[in-house]
Amino acid sequence: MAAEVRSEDELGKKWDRCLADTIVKMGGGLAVGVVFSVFLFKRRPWPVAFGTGVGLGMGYSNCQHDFRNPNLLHGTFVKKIEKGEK
Amino acid sequence: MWRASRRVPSRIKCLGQGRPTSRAQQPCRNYAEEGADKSAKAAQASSSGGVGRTILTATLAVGAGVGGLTVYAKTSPEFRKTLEGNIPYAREYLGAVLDRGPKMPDLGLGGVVDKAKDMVGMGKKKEEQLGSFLPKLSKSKADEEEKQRKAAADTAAQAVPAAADHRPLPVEESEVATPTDDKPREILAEPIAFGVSAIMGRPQSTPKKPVPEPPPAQLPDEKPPAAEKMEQSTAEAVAFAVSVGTDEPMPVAAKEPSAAHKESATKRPAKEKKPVGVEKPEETAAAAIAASMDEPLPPESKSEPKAKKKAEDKPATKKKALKEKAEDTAAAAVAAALDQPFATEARETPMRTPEEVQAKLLEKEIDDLADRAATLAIIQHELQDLKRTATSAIHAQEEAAHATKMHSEQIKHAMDEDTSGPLGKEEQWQAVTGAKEAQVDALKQAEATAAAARENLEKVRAVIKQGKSSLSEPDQEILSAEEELGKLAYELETAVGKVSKAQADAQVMQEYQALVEQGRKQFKKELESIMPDVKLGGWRGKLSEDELNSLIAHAHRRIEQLQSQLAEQQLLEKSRMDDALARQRTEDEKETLALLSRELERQKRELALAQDLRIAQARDQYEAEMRTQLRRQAGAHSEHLQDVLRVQEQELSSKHQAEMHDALMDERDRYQVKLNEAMARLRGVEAAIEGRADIEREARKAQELLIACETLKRLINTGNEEAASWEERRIPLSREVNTVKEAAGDSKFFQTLLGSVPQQAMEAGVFPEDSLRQRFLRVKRVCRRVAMIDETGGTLFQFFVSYLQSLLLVDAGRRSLPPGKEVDPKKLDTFTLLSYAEHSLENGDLEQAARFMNQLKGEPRKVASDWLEEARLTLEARQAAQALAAAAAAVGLGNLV
Repeated sequence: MAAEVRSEDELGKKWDRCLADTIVKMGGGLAVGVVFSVFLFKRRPWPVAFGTGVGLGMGYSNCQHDFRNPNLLHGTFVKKIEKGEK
Repeated sequence: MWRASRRVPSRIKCLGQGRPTSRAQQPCRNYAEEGADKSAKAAQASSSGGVGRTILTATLAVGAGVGGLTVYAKTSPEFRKTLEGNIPYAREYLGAVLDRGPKMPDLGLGGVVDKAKDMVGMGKKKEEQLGSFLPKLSKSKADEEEKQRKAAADTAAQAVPAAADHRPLPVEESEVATPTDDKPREILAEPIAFGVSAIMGRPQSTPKKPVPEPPPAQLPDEKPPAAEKMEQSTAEAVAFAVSVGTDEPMPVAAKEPSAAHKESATKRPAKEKKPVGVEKPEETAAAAIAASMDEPLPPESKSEPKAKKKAEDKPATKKKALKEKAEDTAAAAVAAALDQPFATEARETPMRTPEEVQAKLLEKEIDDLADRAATLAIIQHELQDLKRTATSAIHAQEEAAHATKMHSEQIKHAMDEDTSGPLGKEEQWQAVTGAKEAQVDALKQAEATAAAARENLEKVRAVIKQGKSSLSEPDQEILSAEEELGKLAYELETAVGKVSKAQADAQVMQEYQALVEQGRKQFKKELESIMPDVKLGGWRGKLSEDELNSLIAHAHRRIEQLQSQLAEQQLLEKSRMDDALARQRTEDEKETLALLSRELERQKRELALAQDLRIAQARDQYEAEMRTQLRRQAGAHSEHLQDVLRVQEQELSSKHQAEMHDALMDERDRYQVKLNEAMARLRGVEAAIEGRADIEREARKAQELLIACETLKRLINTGNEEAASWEERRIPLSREVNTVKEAAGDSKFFQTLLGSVPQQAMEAGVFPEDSLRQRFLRVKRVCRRVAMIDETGGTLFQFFVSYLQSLLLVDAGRRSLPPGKEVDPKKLDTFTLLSYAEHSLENGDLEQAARFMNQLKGEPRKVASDWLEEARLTLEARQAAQALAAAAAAVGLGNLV
């Protein structure tokens, strides 16, 4: 948050966020799918694929939502810094 | 289905099945089995050591990662800083690993160690230095010698200034004889005290033997070396005495110590030199003198005059020789003593003259002291001896007189035939002979002792005479010695007189005895002649009548004869008695005269002594008085000098003040005149300058303003030239604007213009046109990609389609606005606008570009909004700056000279 985001870079940032989010979700889905596959579905491949797909879908949906409503703000948590700490 | 069993196909289709054929074969893929294998393997892996392997692998990976990071951090400090900043506890870890172990905190011990080392070194140095000074109580001879040398120097130095002024005596003695801190000094204090007290003439309470025995009670430990020292010194002295008195036989029966001395002297010949040259002069002199004096006189001389002469010569020569020797030793000692402290204290610098003089003075003093010491020591000793011999002589004389008297008594007794007493005649005569022998012995003894005493007397007299002549003033001691001498002489003479009187009586008695014998013999002879056969005393038988008659007749005749003889004798006796009386009278007279003369002499001597004493006292008194008077005079003189000086000082100071004042006034006047001149000139110049200054000021202000405005304009145009990229070329304008504000002063016009500069430009700064141009490229790209999206946002699909459109729409270069043609705002779409704007930017027309960009709509507008804002700011600032510059130029031109 040091420098301001330029308007021309805003979109780029949005895309980055989107992509990262999607990847994370996909990974999560993959993991869940693996777990399910291993423990519940006797190592069948379809939970993995399913989970991945779920993740992808979620990410896509988030992206879409973000792009559709560009005026919605994204907040971040700011750690409370005591005086004297770095 | 993936758990199907393995089936060998009929035809070999892939590698791994059966034999390899020539056909190109692919490796077999067993899909079903792969998964099974995989899962089986996974299961296997998870069950059989897989965990361990996993853990190992993970650890290795982590370690490799960390190691790589560390190595890289070592090489690149920037990377290290980054690591330390981002990863917690990285700093400590890297410091520990890369900085060669943990750093010990500086406790300041290094300084302490160094200081300790310095102190040890200094201590060592000091030890070396002080080693020669400090009295070390060690048993080694070298240390003893050094100590004693120092003691010698100290005591010599002490004794000398003490003796320099004639202060009362007890102070000196106490000063010198006080035992100091050093133990060896105590040993030496005794002989020193003895010698010095000999100098001062004060007889010691206990006349010590000449060999100074160290007081045994004090220091048993250090007695042997000290005693040896003494022995050495006395050995040396004795040897010297031997060399002096070579014509006299060295008495062997002197003392055991002397023999021991000789032995010790022979034993340690090498050490003689050292202690000799360094011993105290007084001590050696005293010891030498004492040693020499203890030699008993040679037995040859018995007669008085010879003894006298010899006595005079001997002490004289001896004294001279001893004095010389004492002087030498004193000189050597002084030189050594003086050299020693000077040498040890300042080895490099040579002796300075005041100390040479002092040394010489010391020498002289010590010479004098040696003289006195020698003289007085001799005198004292002689006196002691004399007393002894005199008393013994007197005793002997008395004994002789007594013996003589006894002898005469015995004779009388024997002669008296009536009183036979208890003893028979024979025994009586034997007693007489015994008494005679005793008398002879006693007389011999008496004579010998008398002679000795007389000789001593002469010696002492001579010595005293010499002492008196040599010394400057008669000393108290010498006078008292003279007194004693006189007394002793008187006593001796009286004793001798007594003896002679006794002897005279004895002589009378002997004559009487002889006469009696003679008479008896005569009688016997006559009797024999008459009666030859009659022996006296042998009355044997009876005598006849004739014989008896003849005997009686003879006896009568004899009686008559004797009577007549007796009458004759009586007459003769009378006359002789008269003669004798007369003689006796004359003799008495003579004796009385002699006695008288003796008494007179004694009186005279006493008077002389008293006179001398009084003279000495008077002299002392006068000297003291003189000194006080002199001191008073000196005091008065100094006071007078002070007064005179004070008065002079006042006079001089007042004169000086007056002169100073006059000179000062003159100077001030002159200065004042000059100053007035200068001031007048200065004022003229000032007026001229001030007239000029206003003009100049105005001109300068205008110039400043101009410069400031130009600076501002340029800054707006160029920005921060040192910036790396276009992004950082922003520079805040506040400084330049303030400068312009200051330069502008109160002008309202300028203030207004300055107020028009936007605030953000002041704080954040503006981008120069080049930056905007570069930025525009990116803006354009992004705008093209989102050209289809409007303000409300769009789905991803729309974004994707818009992106596709931008890819497909070719940018055919920058379109230029056709000149003079109007632009229809409705027909403008994003791409057109962008190309127009780019074209204008290329031509340097930021304003036009901004206008075009302002027409954007939708998402592109949002994207380009920042750029537009920046462009607007720049334009505003530029406008303001240009206006300012123009105004400043206008103002400046007018004032330009």
